[in-house]
Amino acid sequence: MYFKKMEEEKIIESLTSVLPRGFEIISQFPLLVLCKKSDNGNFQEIVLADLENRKINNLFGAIHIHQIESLVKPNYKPYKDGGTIRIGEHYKLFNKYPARTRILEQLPIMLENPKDLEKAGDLIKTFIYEDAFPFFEYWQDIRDFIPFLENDDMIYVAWDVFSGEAMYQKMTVMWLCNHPRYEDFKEASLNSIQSRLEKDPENNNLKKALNNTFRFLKRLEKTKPLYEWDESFLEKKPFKII
Amino acid sequence: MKSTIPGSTKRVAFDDAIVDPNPLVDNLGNPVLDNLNKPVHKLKYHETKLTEAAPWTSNQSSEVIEAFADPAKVKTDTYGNEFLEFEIRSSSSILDNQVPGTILKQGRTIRLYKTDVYKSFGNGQENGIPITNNVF
Repeated sequence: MYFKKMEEEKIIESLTSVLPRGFEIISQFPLLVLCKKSDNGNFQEIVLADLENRKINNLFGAIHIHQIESLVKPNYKPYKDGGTIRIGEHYKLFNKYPARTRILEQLPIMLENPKDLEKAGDLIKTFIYEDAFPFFEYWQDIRDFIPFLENDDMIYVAWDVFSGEAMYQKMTVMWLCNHPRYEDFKEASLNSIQSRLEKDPENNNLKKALNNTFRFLKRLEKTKPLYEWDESFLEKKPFKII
Repeated sequence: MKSTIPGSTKRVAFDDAIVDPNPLVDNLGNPVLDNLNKPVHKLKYHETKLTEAAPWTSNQSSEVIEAFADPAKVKTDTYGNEFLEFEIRSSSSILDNQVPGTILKQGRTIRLYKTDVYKSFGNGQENGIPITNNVF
């Protein structure tokens, strides 16, 4: 047992040694997850390995935008909660996969000997610098989400962008940016739940969803918007690959 | 993938589940939405047992097999087909780790039609080809 523990420590030490400063381990089992709190309060999360099965199946990351997540879910925790946007959604939005294919080709890696750890270290470096950093760099500010949320169908929720409760996350971004169509979106979203409840009045889960939404809206609308609306928010920021 | 019927405390582990990445649409072509307006995905559930008579686990039995006979849990779509809905409880990180690039996330709703439950069993036959049957 003691031997096994030492080995795990060696794996963790080796895998995390290639990371830049500021990342701290927030979970070890079953997944080795690291997190960094940036100056603006956002959390950058990186998932490195599946320590339970001693392998790297996938390398990925997520960003938790504090201004959004703290309203959607007070007491949210990085890793435990899904995050605002995950790198998988980001790849798809831009249809750009800088190092993705190269990385996936070499996975999974079983973590059994020093050679595996060396290979894993190289792969993690590639992932961090070529994929994760440009991703973290892009999503800094709630206004960055606006161009991806625009749609004529007001019920359309950007499921492809957000990684958790997309409806609440979209409402939060629109409210905090003083979006001129916030009320329309809120109304359409509530109508969608209410009309289903009218057809199925005994459905307790729908009732709960509606009550939770009202509770969330109360919390949201007590918060002061952060920005005056500006049409320039609609322009997509270019995504730079390093 | 661990999932629960909303309102239930029991979790079912779908060890072998195939989820259609395209969201379900209704008879008018509109996406089917869950309670919080998220898209719903269709699931095919396959369970491998040693023999035809091998029992289901307790949660598989109460949350899937018996649930299809419980009018409080089973629902019917616009075509009259019976289904159960589950909420994914596995964390998004675990799902992402198991299946790189998956569309599944914690909190998403998945729908299992009665006709999409399969059970395979080998019955110890020499040629090793398992038999797969619809459960219902």
